[in-house]
Amino acid sequence: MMTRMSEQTFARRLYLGIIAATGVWCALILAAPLLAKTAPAFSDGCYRFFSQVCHQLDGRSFHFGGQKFAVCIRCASIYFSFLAAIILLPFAIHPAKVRAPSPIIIGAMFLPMAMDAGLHVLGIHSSSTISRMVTGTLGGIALACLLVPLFLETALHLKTNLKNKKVFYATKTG
Amino acid sequence: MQPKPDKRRASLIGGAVIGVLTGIPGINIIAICCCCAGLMAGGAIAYYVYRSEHQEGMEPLESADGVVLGIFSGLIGAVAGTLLSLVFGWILGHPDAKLVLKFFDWLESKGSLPPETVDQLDQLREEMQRQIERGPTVGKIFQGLFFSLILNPIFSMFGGLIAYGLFGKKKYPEQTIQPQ
Repeated sequence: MMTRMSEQTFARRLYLGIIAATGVWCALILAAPLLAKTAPAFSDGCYRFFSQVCHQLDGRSFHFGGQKFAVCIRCASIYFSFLAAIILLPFAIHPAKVRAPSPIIIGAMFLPMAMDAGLHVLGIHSSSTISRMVTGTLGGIALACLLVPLFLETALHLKTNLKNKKVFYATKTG
Repeated sequence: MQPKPDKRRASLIGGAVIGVLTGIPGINIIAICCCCAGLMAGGAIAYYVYRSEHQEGMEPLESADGVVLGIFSGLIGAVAGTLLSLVFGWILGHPDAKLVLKFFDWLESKGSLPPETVDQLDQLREEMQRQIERGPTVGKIFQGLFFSLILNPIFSMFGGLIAYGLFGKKKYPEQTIQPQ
């Protein structure tokens, strides 16, 4: 009973940690255009940091005050929907009880984004701001549904392993 | 029960994939345009290789394996990618910027751009020309490596976890115990 309680508390704390980390990530995306005039060095650093993971094309990015976001529309949709999904998920289910959905559901949620990008590259369909937003949002929700339970499972597993090792060494030395 | 396979080979393969996808000019643009799918692919491939090495009678695979493989692949990939981009930069001389400049020329040759966009393109072209002349500085190389050492393991870890979620544990036919 006690172990179950501590497991749930650990899961809750870890979940809050994931929300905080994702929040910081999204805040940095917004900080780049928001601080472009007041703190240009920090803003420039944000742009450089995110340039490692996004093309940052001006025509494919949201703008604030004439400055583009640190990532493109599709990436911003993925990250912000991921954040929204992990904030809203605990209202539906306890963090410790969240389970990853089947690969078919995840695949079905990723398919529109893959099709939108792939067909655009092939010249069959022209992706728009709306299509990038909608498909990116679906992808972000799918990622949250898949990654968060697996991440919690891993952390709980590592914690249990660490505890078992401590008990093992304590009994061995004591 | 036998221990699980060694993680080094799978991590090296995953890291090499990330290195190629992020370090070779031209390919790295595709990898970046796919919303860091290249980084995730490295972690996923590392887990897939590891899973294929897993045999019956070994300790079962866990999600932690996907995480660890992803992190290692990301770290190896960051170093490999930086080294590859340095080598290609040294041989070809700032190929990314040259590719972008060619793209600007192509855009302007189409002749349908509004005047303000042409001005912006000219400014960008001047900035890129300056970058080509200056070449990569040690500070920029280390900055890129520093950012890669943070970002690659994160996304690669996600790739490893996604691969664990999609491929799952390796299933073996259940052994039936013969009554003696």
